[in-house]
Amino acid sequence: MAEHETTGFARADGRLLLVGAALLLVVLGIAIARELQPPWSGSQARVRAELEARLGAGAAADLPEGVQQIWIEPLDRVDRCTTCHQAMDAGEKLADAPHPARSHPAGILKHHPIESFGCTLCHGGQGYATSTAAAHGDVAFWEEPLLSAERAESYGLTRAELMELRCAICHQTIEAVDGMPLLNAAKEKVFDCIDCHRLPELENEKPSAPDLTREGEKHPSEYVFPEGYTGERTALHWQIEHLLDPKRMSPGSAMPKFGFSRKDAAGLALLVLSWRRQALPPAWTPKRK
Amino acid sequence: MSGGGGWSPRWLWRHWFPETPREGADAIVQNFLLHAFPVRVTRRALGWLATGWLGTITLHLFLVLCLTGGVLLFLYVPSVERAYQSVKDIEFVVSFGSWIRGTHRIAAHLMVAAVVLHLVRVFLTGAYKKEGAPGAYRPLNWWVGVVLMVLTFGLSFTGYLLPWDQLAYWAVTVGTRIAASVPGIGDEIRTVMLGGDTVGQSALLRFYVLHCFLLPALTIYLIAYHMWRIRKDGGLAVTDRVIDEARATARIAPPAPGKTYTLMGATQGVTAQATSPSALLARESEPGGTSIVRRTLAIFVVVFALCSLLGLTMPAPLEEPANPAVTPNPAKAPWYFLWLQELVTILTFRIGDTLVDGAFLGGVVLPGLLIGLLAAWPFLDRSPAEAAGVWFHPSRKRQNAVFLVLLFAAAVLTIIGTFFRGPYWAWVWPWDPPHGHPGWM
Repeated sequence: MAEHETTGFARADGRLLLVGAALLLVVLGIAIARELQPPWSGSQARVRAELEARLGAGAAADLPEGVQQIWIEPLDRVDRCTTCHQAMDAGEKLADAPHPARSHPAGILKHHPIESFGCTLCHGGQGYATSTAAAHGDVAFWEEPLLSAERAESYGLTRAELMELRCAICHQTIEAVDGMPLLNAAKEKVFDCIDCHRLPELENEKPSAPDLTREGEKHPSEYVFPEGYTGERTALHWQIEHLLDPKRMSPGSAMPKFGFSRKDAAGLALLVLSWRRQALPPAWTPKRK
Repeated sequence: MSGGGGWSPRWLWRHWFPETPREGADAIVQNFLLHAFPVRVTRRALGWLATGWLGTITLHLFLVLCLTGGVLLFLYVPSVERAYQSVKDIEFVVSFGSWIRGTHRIAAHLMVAAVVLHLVRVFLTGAYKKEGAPGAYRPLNWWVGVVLMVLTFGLSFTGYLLPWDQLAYWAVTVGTRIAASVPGIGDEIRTVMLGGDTVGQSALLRFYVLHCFLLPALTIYLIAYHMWRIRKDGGLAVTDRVIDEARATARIAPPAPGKTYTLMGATQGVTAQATSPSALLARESEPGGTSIVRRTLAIFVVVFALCSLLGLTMPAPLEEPANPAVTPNPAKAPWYFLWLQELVTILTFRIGDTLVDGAFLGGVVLPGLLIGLLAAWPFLDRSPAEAAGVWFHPSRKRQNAVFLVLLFAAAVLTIIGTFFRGPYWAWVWPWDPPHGHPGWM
């Protein structure tokens, strides 16, 4: 009874099966190849080579392999930056090495150890990510890009000056703080603002202008740019342009032009953007002098 | 049984290369796959043109979703604090995580498309018709199919929320606001869907349980029933036509006297054998078990391979974390609901002082009517029995035209909603500058 005929259907289905299986194997091969050659493997090799070139063979023996992460438990954040930037604590000898082999300046780390603060809290960027573009935040749907030198330059600032915003989010005090020259200068100017505004720590019983105590919490999507504005559309640009010429950015505003320099305006804008609530663990509350 | 004490593949597979006719028969009867399919299958049913094998493709997409979803179950955490982070981890640190998630997402989109195409095929071939072989009642399987389509939308919509990003949060907010527009009990419906007033932890947990347990369980059960019904209805509708033709040209084997497989066949005076493809002459059919198993295996491998390829080349997006304070403009429902969202907008207008509630008309009444119309169609259909299993039968011109016009309208509205709608649902061209909101710096 058994039929052992090979029909046209059997041959055609056999071919389809082969084509599908071949495609599946190719896809699986690509996926495995990608997994074996992750985006960070090249960076780790470069750090290794740099370390051995400068400190001698065997210097890179202790470097860990694979994805590295710092879990900042009190804030429930995770930073995987050290997957590529592996030589953060290598000291002076790698201070001028090209990224990602460059070491971190030691001074600031004394009070802000990497293992408890991570990286993105100060530098911005996407801590979750393990590929360069995504980690540096130059991707859609990530709101906090890396505070790079190029980004700072577009505001006429240095990278350290732009990063003072991140300092000020934790160090929320109207008093001067070491290492924040741009914002310390802005804090001196800001006393003139309480004639009209209410600001953090600076009460104003009868403010005639908007309360700025939480101005930094205003989401970028809430900023309205005037007709004909051609510059970049970011919260920081809006704040700077507004300080330079209030009526241009906010038609009908009663705020006069104060004639700030662009740098002063940038410092004030960064200070304004730092005025937001930040839930810090009690132990983290910065000490005041 | 061959072999003494050594290893034998029979330990794993009892009917490994049967050696006697009896073992051979056992191998067929006891094998699920060979037994799930008919003994003989007509060549026309086996061909690609009769059905496009769209139901099988849909089933295999569902299998791909179960496979990839099963892996994601080990990695995803259904809490508002951890959901987004766990998806970021899947994307960036889990081995093959981005690929598996991408495959899951693309298979979900394709399954929605495949299930709709399957419905279109069944409609245009009149395969849902009441008239058929004795004992057959195909409308029942049509209704099961309509329920399976609704379940597919439900599975897709509940899965949409899980990444807990802006896309998820606002799509579900839009979707459940439409449900809230039902007069009288709308707010209660929304509260039951969300487990509260807002899209929060209870909503996430509800959608998670529905997505990972309740809806898949129901779907698996109904798919099994859906496939069993095909056999109970005497195979595909096209088989009836093949038998008609064979009978007309007297190429059919006469029923064997006194041999009846079912009581139903005996009481109606026809043996099951006489109307089943197994009674057809050998040259019009193929052995069912092997040929259908071979075909479904080939389709599964191709579907799996294509989904894997698309999952690798088109990673699933993950937007900003869900933020109830920031509404994206426009907030769009998933693409397969965009024709409804488009209708909601069109149907919201003012007559004098009365505001016509487009959400209720476009989001509840109209889809309800359409589903009801689909369910009632087997009774509205007056075409003759021989129109079943035939593409574009001349007697079905009018109803096919009505169906295709409705389908075309939904497709056009979906395309408009997807590509031509910008902030405040205003018309935009795809080449207009993107309308994303400003960033921080």
